Amino acid sequence: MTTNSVARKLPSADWLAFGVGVVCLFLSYVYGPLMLVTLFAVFVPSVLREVGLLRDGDEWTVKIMHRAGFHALLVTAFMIFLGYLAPSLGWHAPPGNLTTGPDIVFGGETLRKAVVWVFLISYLLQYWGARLGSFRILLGVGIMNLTPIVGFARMPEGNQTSATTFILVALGAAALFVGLAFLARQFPRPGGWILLVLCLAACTFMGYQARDPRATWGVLAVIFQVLLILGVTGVALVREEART
Amino acid sequence: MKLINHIKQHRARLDLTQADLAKRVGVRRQTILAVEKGKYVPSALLAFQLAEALGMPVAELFELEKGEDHDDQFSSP
Repeated sequence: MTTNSVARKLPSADWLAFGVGVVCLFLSYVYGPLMLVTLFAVFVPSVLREVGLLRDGDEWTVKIMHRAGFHALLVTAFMIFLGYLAPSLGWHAPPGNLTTGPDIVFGGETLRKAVVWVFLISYLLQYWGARLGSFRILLGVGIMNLTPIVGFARMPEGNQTSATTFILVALGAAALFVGLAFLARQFPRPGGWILLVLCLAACTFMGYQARDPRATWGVLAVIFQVLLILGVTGVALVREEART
Repeated sequence: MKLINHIKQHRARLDLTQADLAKRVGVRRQTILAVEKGKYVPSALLAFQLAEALGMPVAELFELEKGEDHDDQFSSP
């Protein structure tokens, strides 16, 4: 293989940075500060492009990037609005937690990650298309479910039962998302509808859990991530198949 | 009203891959894919660049798919 052909097969620098950012997003669920690497890898190139210091995008990639940013703005604005509405809806922070204001509904961490998640999912679905994009996103989320195992594998002795249970649940969740990924790729339209049904079922179930004020905060955060991952990819698949 | 293109046919005529055409025009392969599939309507500049790369007039590479409503709206009395 010649040097030129090797260079052609390697992803470009911006894709490598993007990939590092996504991996660190996954790992940030185990080690929070890695989120900084994600924000740096995903947003610094975009800032450089906007001020004209980086000219590696063409008109289409710039357009979908702008659109992804707009989607991120809409979703996080909605979450902030919901947060301000929280007291009148009777939502409260868990007992012992002194959080007030918008963070009652979604912890600050969820809101921060929402910006990145929405931007990434919107951009990737537009770039790769619904079928391939959904496959890769669901596969990635499946792998992400394995990352907490890293932390629990270091549990001290005496907690092995809890660790084993958690690892099995994580493996089950990972297997579910990986299975959904291949379903979405092979049978996009039925897969899309299954994703939507699962999304609705999960949100309904967790909605009942949210009636307990102690659970509201965490449950709503999970609902948001389920809606985003299952719901958005499901809608994208159903819409694309309807158009073709 | 929809814009339809004949990029794929003319690309095949010249034995060009999407990557080859993308390189000639200075865009990503995914951009050519998006234009061919009708997911993205290119700017006038990109449309002219594509036509030049394929060696043909823009009007032969892109055309409007007229719907029934359009015909009724502009038909003479």
